[in-house]
Amino acid sequence: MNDIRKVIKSKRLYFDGGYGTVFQERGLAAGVAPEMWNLNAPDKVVALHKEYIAAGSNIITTNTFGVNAFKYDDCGKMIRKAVELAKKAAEGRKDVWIAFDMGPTGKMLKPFGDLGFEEAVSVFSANVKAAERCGVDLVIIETMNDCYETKAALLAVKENSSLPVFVTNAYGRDGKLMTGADPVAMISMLESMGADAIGMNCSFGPDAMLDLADDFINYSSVPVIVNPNAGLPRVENGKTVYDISPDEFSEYMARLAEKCVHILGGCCGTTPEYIEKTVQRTKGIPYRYPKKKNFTFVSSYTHAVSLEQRPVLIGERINPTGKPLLKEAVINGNTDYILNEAIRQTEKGVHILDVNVGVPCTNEAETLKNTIYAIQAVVDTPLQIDTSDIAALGGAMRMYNGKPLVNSVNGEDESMNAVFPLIKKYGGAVIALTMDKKGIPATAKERVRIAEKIIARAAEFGIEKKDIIADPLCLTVSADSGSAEVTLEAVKLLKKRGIKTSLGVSNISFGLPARDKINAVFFSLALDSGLDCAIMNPFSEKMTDVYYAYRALHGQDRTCSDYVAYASASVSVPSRRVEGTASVSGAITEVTLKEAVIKGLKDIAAARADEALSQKDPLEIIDGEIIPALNEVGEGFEKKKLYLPQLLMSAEAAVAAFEKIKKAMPAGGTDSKRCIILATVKGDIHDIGKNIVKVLLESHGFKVYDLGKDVAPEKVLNKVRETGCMIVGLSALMTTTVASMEDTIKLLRAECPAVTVIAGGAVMNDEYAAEIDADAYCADAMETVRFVQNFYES
Amino acid sequence: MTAAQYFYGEIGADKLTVNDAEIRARLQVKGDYREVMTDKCLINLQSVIRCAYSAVKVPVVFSESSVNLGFGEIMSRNLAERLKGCDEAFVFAVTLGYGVDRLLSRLAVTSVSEHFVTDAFASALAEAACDYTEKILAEGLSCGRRFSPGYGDLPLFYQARVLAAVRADKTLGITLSDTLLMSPKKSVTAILGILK
Repeated sequence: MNDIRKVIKSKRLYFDGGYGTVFQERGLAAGVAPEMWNLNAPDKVVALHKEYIAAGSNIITTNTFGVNAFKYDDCGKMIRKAVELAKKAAEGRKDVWIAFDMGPTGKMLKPFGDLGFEEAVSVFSANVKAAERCGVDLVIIETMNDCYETKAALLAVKENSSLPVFVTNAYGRDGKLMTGADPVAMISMLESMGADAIGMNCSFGPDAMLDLADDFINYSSVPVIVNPNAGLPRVENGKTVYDISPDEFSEYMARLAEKCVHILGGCCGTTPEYIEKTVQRTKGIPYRYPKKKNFTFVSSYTHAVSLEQRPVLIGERINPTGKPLLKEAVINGNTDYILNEAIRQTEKGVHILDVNVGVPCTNEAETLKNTIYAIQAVVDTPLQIDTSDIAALGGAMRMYNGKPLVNSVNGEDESMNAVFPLIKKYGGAVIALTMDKKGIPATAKERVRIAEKIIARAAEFGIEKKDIIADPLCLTVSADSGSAEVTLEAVKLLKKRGIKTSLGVSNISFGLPARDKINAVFFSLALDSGLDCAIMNPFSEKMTDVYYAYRALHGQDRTCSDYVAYASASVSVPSRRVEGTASVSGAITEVTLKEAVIKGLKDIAAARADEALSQKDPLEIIDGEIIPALNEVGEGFEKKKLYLPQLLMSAEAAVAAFEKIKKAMPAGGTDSKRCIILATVKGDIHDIGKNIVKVLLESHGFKVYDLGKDVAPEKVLNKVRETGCMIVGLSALMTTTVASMEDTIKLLRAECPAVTVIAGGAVMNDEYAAEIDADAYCADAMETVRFVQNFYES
Repeated sequence: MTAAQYFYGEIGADKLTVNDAEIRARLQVKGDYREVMTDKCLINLQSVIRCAYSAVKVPVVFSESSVNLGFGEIMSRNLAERLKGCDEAFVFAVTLGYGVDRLLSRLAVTSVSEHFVTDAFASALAEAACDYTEKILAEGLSCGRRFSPGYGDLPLFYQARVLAAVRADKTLGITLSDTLLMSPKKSVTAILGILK
C-alpha cells in the first residue's frame, strides 16, 4: 500500500459519506449506536463500505466513530471487528485506504467538563494502538468540536503510532467550534503538532463551508479536507430528509475543489450517490498541492495571534522576578492573584501573556501546569510559557490548550537539544535568544549569526523558520552606552533576513530611575526598526501610548480606530486619581470611604482607602469606616432592606479597600489566626455560594483559605494540618454531592476531631447538616459571617 | 420501522427575554432589580450566548409502571402521568453554549457580585430558551407540560439517555460529567408530550 501522504501530493482523494444516517435509513433504530452493527449486522456494514468504494471513495472510514472506553468495555474487540469489515470491503483494491475513525469521547475536558487531559489521551491511545495492530492505513480524527479534545486525540496518535493522521473539526454557523476555536486557531495548532491533513466535517452543508474553506486554503500548508453534511435535516411526510440533493451537493463540492480543497467526502445525510456525483463532477478540476505558508502564529483554544499584521504585545507581569506580591502568590498557591494579573493585562490589550512562576524551592513543573490550567479557564489569550526548567516546559507544553509560544531557546547545543524535541512533539513557536556558550556577542552581526545557527539547527528537527522568533537581547544602557544601538541594528538585520524578532524591552533601563521614560523611547525605536513582538508592561501608559501612536502613524491602524478606542478608554478609566471617576459622575468624588463601601463602589473605596492612609492609622480606618459600613449593610440585608447583589458589591468594595490598607500594615494585613478554610466538595462544580461566603468573610477581615471547587476530602484535611485553621466551611449544591460532604466530615472527624465544620449550600438544612455530622448549618453568607465572628470571640 | 425525526435550530440571544418574576426570585430581590451593574451583566451575557436546540420526535409506549420513548424503559409514574393521552412526544435539549461558561468562570475570579447576578440571568435565560424551543416544536400542535430528568420521580441518571437520543453531543456539544452535570452549564433537557 502506498503511503497516502505521498499519493496526496499529486492527486485529489475522496472520503466516503455518512454511515449512521444511512444505517438509520436501513433499519438502525434511533438511539442505537451505529457501531453496534459491526457485531449485529456486519454484512450491512461491508455492503455500505463497498458501495462507497464503488462510488469512487479512496478512503473508507471504519465504523468506529463512537467506540471508546467510556462507552464500551472491550474496545479492542470492536475495533478489530470494524477494521476486519472495512478490509473485507476493500479486498483487492490497492487504491483504497482504510482510515481508523476516531470521534469525540462524548465527555468534555476540564475545566468545562470533568475529563482530565491525560485521561483523554490514554483513552484515545488505547484505540490507536488497537487500530495500528489491526493494520489500518491512517487515522481520521473527526467531528471534534473542542480544541482540547482534538489535541488529546492527535497527541495519542503521534505518541503511539507512526500512522498518517488526518483531523477534521465540526464548526458551527458562526465559523467556530462549540468551545470557541476558529479555523486559524485549529490550523496553527494541528499543523504545528504534525497533522498530515486538516479540515472540517459534519455541522452543515457544503454551502456553509465555502467561506470557511478560504481560511484553510489561505493558511494551511498541509492538504485540506472538507466532509460536509447533506445540508440540514428537515422532516418531510414523517421522514427525516436532508435539504441538499446529491446534484446540488456535487456542485458545491466542485466549487470547493476549484478553491483547491484536496480531499472531499461527506458526513451526515450523505449517501454513496452523493459521493459518486461528487467524484464525477470534480474529477476534471485541476489539482494543486498546497504551498508552504510562511505565517507565524501562536494560538489559544479560541483564536490565533498572527505576527504578520501588527507588532504583538506580550504582557510580562506574571513573573515573580522583582514582584514580591506575585512571588508570594506563587509560594502560597494564590491563583486568584495571578488570574487577576492575567485578566487585567488582557484588559489592557496584550495579545499574548508571558507566564513565569519560577520561584526557588518550589515545584515549578507542578505550579506551571496548575497556573496555565487556571489561566486558560478564564482568559483565552495565547500564552508564552517562560521557564528554564526543561521538565516544567515539557509538562506545560503538553497540557497547554493551543499552540504556545516558548520562552526560550538559545544557541547552546544543550538548550537546542532539550527544547526542539518538545517543540516538534507538542507544537509551538519559540523565542531564540541570540547567545551561546560564549555569552552575548557584542556586535549585531554576531547576534544575527547565532539566530541563523539556531534556525538551521531547528530545521534538523523539522521545525520551520517561521516558528523561530529571534530575540537579539537588550542590555541595560546604564552599563554600556552603545547597547541600544547594537540591539536595534540586530533587529533591522534580522528583519531583512525574514526572521521574526522579539525583545524584552524593559531590560534596556535596568538600574536607571524612572525606567518608563527610557523604555518608551526605546520601544518606539525598536518598533521603527521592525520589531515583531515586545515583552512589556501593559500597565505602563507610556509604553501603550507609544504602541498605539506608532501604529496610527505607520499606517497599521487605517482609520485610527484602535488609537481612538485606546485614547478614549485611557481618559475615562479611573487610574491613580479619583478625579478620573468624576468625569463619569460628578457627584461621586464627594463620597467618603464609608459611603463608598455602603454603595458598593469598588474603585472609589480603594482610592479613598489609599488617601486615608496618609492621614490615619490603618486600624483606625478599618474600625472607623469599613467595619461600620459593613455593619450597616449587613443589618440592612438581615432586615431585608438590602438585597444580596448590593451586599456583595459592598463586600467587594470593602475588600478592595482592605487590599490597600493591608499593604500599609506591618504584619502584611489580615490576622491569619482569624481564618477559615472554604471548599465546594468533590464532584460539585458550583462555587457561587462559596465565593459569596468568601468575599463577605474577607470583607470582615477574616483570612480565607479557598480550596476552590471539586475538592477531595484529603485536600481539606491537608489544609487543616498545614494552616492549623480550626474552622472549615463546606458547600454542596446538589443532592448527589452531599455524600462527598459527608465523606469530608468523616475524614476530618477521624483525623482532626477538634475542627468545627459549617455546612452550606442549596440542598442543606439544619436536619440534613446534623445527619451528616456537621457542627452547624448556615443558611446564607451573613449567617456564616456571624457564626465565624462568634467562633473567634467565644 | 420509521426513521427518527430530528430537529435542530439556533435561537438568537435577542429572542430570549428574562421573566421578571423569575429573575427577582433568583436574585433574591423583591422590587426593581435593574441598575447599572445588573444591566452591564445582562449585556455582557447576551453577547456571549450561542443558543441552539436539538430535538427528536419519538413514539410513546406505556406499560404498567413505565414509559418507553424508544430509548429503553423509563421507570417514572410522574412522567407517565405527564404523558397521559400522548402517542408521541418531543425529547429535546437546549443550551446557551460554552461562551457563558467561560464568562462565568472569569467572573468567579473578578467579581462575586457580577458572577452571582450573571449566573442568575443565565439560568433565567436558559429557561427562556427552553420555553422558546417548546414554542417552536409545538407550533400547530397541542402539547402538554414539559418534564425533565431530576423532576419528581424521574431520576437524573436518565439525562444520559435523553442526551443520546437527541444526539446532543454532536449537535450541541452537551456532555455529562460523572456527577450528571451538563456542560455547558446552562443547558436544559425536557420531554414534551404531544396531545392529539
